[in-house]
Amino acid sequence: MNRRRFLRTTLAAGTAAIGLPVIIPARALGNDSSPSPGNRIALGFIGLGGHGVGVNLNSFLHQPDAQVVALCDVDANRLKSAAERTQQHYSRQGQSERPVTTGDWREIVARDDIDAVVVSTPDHWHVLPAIAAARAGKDVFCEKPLTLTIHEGRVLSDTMRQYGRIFQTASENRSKGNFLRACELVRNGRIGKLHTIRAELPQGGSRQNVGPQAHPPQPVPDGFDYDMWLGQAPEAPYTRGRCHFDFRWIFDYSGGLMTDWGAHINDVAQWGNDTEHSGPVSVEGHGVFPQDGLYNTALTFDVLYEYANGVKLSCKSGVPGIRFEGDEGWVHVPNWEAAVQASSEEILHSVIGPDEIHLRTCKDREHRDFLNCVKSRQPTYAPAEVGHRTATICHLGNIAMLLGRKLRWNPDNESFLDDDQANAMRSRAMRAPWSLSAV
Amino acid sequence: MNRLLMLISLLAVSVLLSAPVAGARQANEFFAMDTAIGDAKHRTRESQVKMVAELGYDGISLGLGNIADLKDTLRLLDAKKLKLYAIYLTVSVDAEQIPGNLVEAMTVLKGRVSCLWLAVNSSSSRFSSPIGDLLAVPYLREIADLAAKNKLRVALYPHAGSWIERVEDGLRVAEKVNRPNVGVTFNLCHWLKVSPNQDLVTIIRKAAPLLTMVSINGADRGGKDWKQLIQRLDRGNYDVGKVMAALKDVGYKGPVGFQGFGIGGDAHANLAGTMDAWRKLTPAAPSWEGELLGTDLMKEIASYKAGGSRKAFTVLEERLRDARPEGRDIIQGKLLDMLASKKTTPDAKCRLIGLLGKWGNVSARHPTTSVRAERKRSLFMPFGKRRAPVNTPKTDDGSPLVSTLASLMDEPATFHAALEALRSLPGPESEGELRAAMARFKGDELVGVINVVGERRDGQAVDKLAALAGSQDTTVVCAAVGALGSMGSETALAALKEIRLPKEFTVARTHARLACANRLLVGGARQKAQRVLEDVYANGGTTALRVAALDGLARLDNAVAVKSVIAALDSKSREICLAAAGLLVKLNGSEVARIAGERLPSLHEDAQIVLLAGLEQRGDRGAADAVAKLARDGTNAVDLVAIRALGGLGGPTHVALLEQRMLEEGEPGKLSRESLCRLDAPGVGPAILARLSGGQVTNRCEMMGVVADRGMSEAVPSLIGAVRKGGDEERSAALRALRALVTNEHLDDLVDLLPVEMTESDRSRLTAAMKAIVAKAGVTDKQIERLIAVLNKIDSTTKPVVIEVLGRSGTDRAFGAIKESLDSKVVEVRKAAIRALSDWPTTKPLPLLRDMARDDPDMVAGVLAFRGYVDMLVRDFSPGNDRVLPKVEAAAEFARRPEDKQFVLQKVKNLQNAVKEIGGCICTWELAGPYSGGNRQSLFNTAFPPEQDGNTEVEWRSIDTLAGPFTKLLRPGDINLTAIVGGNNRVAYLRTRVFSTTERDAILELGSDDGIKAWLNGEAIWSNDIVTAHKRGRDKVNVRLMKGTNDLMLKIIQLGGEWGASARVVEKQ
Repeated sequence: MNRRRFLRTTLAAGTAAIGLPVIIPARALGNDSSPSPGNRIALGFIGLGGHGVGVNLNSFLHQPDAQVVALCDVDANRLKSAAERTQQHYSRQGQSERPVTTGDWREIVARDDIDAVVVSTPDHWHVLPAIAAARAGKDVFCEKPLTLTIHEGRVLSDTMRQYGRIFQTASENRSKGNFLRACELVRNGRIGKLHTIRAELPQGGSRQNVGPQAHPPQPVPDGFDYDMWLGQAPEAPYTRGRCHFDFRWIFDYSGGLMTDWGAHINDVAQWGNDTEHSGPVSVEGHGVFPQDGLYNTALTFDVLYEYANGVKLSCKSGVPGIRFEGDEGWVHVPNWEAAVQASSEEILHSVIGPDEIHLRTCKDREHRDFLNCVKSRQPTYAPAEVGHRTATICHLGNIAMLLGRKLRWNPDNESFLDDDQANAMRSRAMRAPWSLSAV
Repeated sequence: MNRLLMLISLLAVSVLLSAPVAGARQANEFFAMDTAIGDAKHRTRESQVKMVAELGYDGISLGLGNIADLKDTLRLLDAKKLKLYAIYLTVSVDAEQIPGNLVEAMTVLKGRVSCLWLAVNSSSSRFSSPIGDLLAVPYLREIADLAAKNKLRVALYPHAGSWIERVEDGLRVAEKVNRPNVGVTFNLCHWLKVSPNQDLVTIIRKAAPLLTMVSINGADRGGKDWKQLIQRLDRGNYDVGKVMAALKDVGYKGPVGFQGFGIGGDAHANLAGTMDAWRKLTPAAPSWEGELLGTDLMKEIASYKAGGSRKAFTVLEERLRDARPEGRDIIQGKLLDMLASKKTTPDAKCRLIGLLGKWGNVSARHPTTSVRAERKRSLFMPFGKRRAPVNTPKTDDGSPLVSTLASLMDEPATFHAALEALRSLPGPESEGELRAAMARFKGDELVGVINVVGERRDGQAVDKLAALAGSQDTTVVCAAVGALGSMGSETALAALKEIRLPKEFTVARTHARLACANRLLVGGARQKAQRVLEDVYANGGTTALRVAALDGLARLDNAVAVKSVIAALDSKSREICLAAAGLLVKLNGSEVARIAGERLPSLHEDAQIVLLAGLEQRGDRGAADAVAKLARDGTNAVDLVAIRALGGLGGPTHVALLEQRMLEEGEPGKLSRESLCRLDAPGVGPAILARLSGGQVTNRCEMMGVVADRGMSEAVPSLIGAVRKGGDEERSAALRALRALVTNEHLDDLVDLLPVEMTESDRSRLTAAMKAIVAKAGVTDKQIERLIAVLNKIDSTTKPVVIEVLGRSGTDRAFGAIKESLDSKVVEVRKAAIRALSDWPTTKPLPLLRDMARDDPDMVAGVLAFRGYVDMLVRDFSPGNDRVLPKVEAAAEFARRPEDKQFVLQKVKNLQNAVKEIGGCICTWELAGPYSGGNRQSLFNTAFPPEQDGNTEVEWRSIDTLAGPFTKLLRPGDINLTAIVGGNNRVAYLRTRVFSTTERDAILELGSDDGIKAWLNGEAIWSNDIVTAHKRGRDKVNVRLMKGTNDLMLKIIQLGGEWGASARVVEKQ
């Protein structure tokens, strides 16, 4: 049986909450409680670091309709460890197949037996494999922050639409009940007319502000394909603090906390503000940047965005949470796990009626949502355009801080008004041979 | 950042900037002080503002005077886009309070750039005496804090003859005041007067961290009197340029005012001469910006190694950012020279290149020929592993910046940085260099250049790219083909078609052609795009490419799109068929649904599902019959989606189908019922009603549930008929539905059902339906009479129903009828009567219940009445009603059983807890208002009638603060103004009297949502302009209570959300 004929499976499973805009019965999705490996969605993993394995690989291994068939990482140790974990998992299920392993993601994309790729690389390696996978007819599950530059995001989103691929931005927050509840209260007018959003992201700690000489050049460890790890980023001497995890404090590979956590909290802001497919019209702010050492992204920041609908989004360093303020009250999620707070009991306990706005979510999280959508061919709850727009807000904040002036932004054509300098910062030259057009 | 850190940072920067020539750009704004703008010809503020604007000043400063004048002046300044930089006034630290007009002025100036320019006197301390600090510091803090609330800064104004006379005095006091919005002024004339022997640079460096304002004027060296010390800026022999240089040296960027006190003569001439002099003083950019090279800063930059300190680059970037265009060009010239220097490390070069890519000016010429020549010479001297350039870069004719960057690409260490910089720089110069670079490089470097050329969509590069597509290097071929795709032009498209490529590049070429076609489509060249898209769709090779081509075709004109997509539905490829199904429902036009309907049956199952979901989203009923067919005949996977879609698309003709499928178990039944409930096309209601008669009993019962869920009250007659005539199953279903649908007008019909024989469960359903009516809308007197009449006629098994319903009405007639029922010999009737009295809406039955509880010989009735009595007492309790608790406690005396005693004790405990929750809050209040008008500030500051002395027209009304409802934050004892008054953006006043047996000190604890003001015995005692949720005891105010009654009044501001307050007096101890 062709593994991709998912929709024809007729056994009823009836457990997954799929929450699509148009709800398709679980039975129609072929949510078989234990389809045979040949009937599962075949996944190839690109990037097997802490989150790639700890969250994404583990989650997909436990989805009954997914089968991990190939693994890729530039770090041979990580690759080996992930392969062993995968093999052990399937052995317990009586399967003897071993996942294919490789250090070159292009081999994953080129395989015919893979339906979708899961990209959990550092940020500068999100878009290129995703685009290549889409061009090869594969669906994509990709980690946040989705992009390294605004231009990357535009190309990514267009490519996914053009090639008809299903894409999930793995930002987590859209499966969290607290943020969902806050946004639904806002979207349904419970706090009146929304006028201010106060987003707080974590601030940089000592790990990020290490001072000079903390990361002297070191020999590249055995089994680590450093050149491939660098990818599109400029050449730079290897040092341990540059790569795994800490890459996010360096602009060559990421955007710092502004993008790392902005991908969560600013996404909630977009969700609540109903601007998921748009963006602000101006941005200004300032940040404190390390003056020494390897890392250069902002330690603390205070950025203000204004939307065409008059809503102001303040994004500051602090404790990650979000507060929506309207002319009739406020709702607040003070931290990642906190329950929603509100200005009144009435708002807090307000029931969202059946005819009101119910936002797309999936209580079984983004991995389940992705697999459902791969089958139904309906958009996920955070498709590429949504992830790109959220990432764009974060990039806008960084650009405004780096230029030190207020910028006007046209979210329709995604360009700054009368500002060549800022417009040039929407993209970067990729280190050869990598490019968006020839991936 | 705390103040200390801020000072350290500022000092660090000032030290860094203190290199002799390393000043930042003189970005100071220049304004005229009010001492300089008036003369016989310029007596009105209007003429003064006009003159100042015409002469090019950025604004003025004023002395604090009349607030109306201030407002008028601000209007005039705003109209000319000028700023009011300062309000000058003299304050005395011996004063007991802040001058009233200053407070008012702060409100008017809120949020503007203006600062409060304070000359500070002291009647108790002589000039500069630190003894005065004891009084000055708290007084100035008070002003500073008020200013901060209004987002204003304070600059102390050292003034000859004042207590703060010297700059050092201002600094000492400002540091002790220790508020972030307080700084000091450097007044040239006063400094010359009181500190003639002081070193200028020393004092300005000392003042730098707190320097907020500066005033200058022309002066004579060694001048003694004001005529010598205050002149036009173009007069006098004192070198004011030194002052400006010293200010530049410390990076002072604040405003500079022209002091014109006592100059006299023609104000226009004075100001014009001064402006000329100012312009001569400040365009000195070339002289200082040109002196960058050779400073410590530049040495630090040149020696930078990755991982080291980047502070120098930060400073350099700040200077580039703040520099005027001509200054920036000069800095750029210096940086280009640094790039040519062998002493500059590769890491430094990369960072400098990055800065030039970001801030560089392509059209800027190099400042000096000699330097340029030197740069050219240096640039091509070997450093590192440089490769020989194929072409000599342009340097004489083109942009020095661009040609330098192009040359730096030849060095491996700087290749990527230079390429990125060129990518960022707009204009034909950089494009030309990039095209030239395509001929110079090979391998990965060439690929990098090609990618940038493609991104820039340089049309002149098409031929070169096409030529490179013939390269032997496969990476170069892919890059060139991709770059041509990015071009998106017709020439690029033609080139892509014509270039000869080995087979392995076919897919790359097709991706590129698609990219081109998409750009052409967006650009309006639809026909060209269509040809490519159709070709790719037909011959694209991979499915992915064909899907992408179809996506493009679907974005062409609707007719083409529809035709293409429909054709694709026939594809044998599942992927394409799925894509087509997804695209079809996004197309415009009514024919889409019809076509979809026609094609649905023959589609691949997966495509059917996608199309069904899309059709439902689209909401177009044109395909409803086809959907229904699949709902009936589709495969097990498809039918569910079809049933679901039919709920959104179907009409009356689909009711029977959904009804039939509703009877199935599991998902089909559940979804069919949901769809029946969602159907909303015309005629659906009658179609469903028709299904209530005829057909199978099971069908009818299920449809009764549907009509209930749909809220179809028109079904009530049919349902009543079913109760009368139907069997048990149908009667139960009908009664269940009736409960959801009946209204007051149906009560009589339900009463008529009482004689109908039915099970106990059904009778309960009937009772529930009748009670639901009473609860929803009440009953009329006529209906009460009817119920009483019925009560007297019906048998005892039915009487409890009527008694329960009557009990809900709470009328006297009903009370009498129920009381009579207490005499019934039928136990169930008596019990129903006691229950009805226990649930009575008022306390009228209390005596009756108490007597029965105590005396009724029937144990069951007695216990029932006892519980009813206690429950009713508890319901009557409110925290202010202190009669209830003793009554509840007393009830324990006639409890007949231990468990009843326990029941009472529990109730007492609950009530005691409720009393405790009041927590000593004042519960007796009168209310005036609401009053509205204006924003938060206006609401807070406006003295509405209750605040106005002698206003006797205020209407005060008593309020019941204990009636509830209560919320999490507004509990018993708090005043829930949301419930009592409601609304947003308003204020209410509350007043009460507090009795004290002695004159004593106490603490008044206040809570409010939002802001609050309080008056005790007519004196304002508290003010808190806050937006917050209510918290009891948040504000603690020390008060002195008089013996006897004390009048307390509160003003509570409501902006939004909850609104409430609380107040209690607690002992000071």
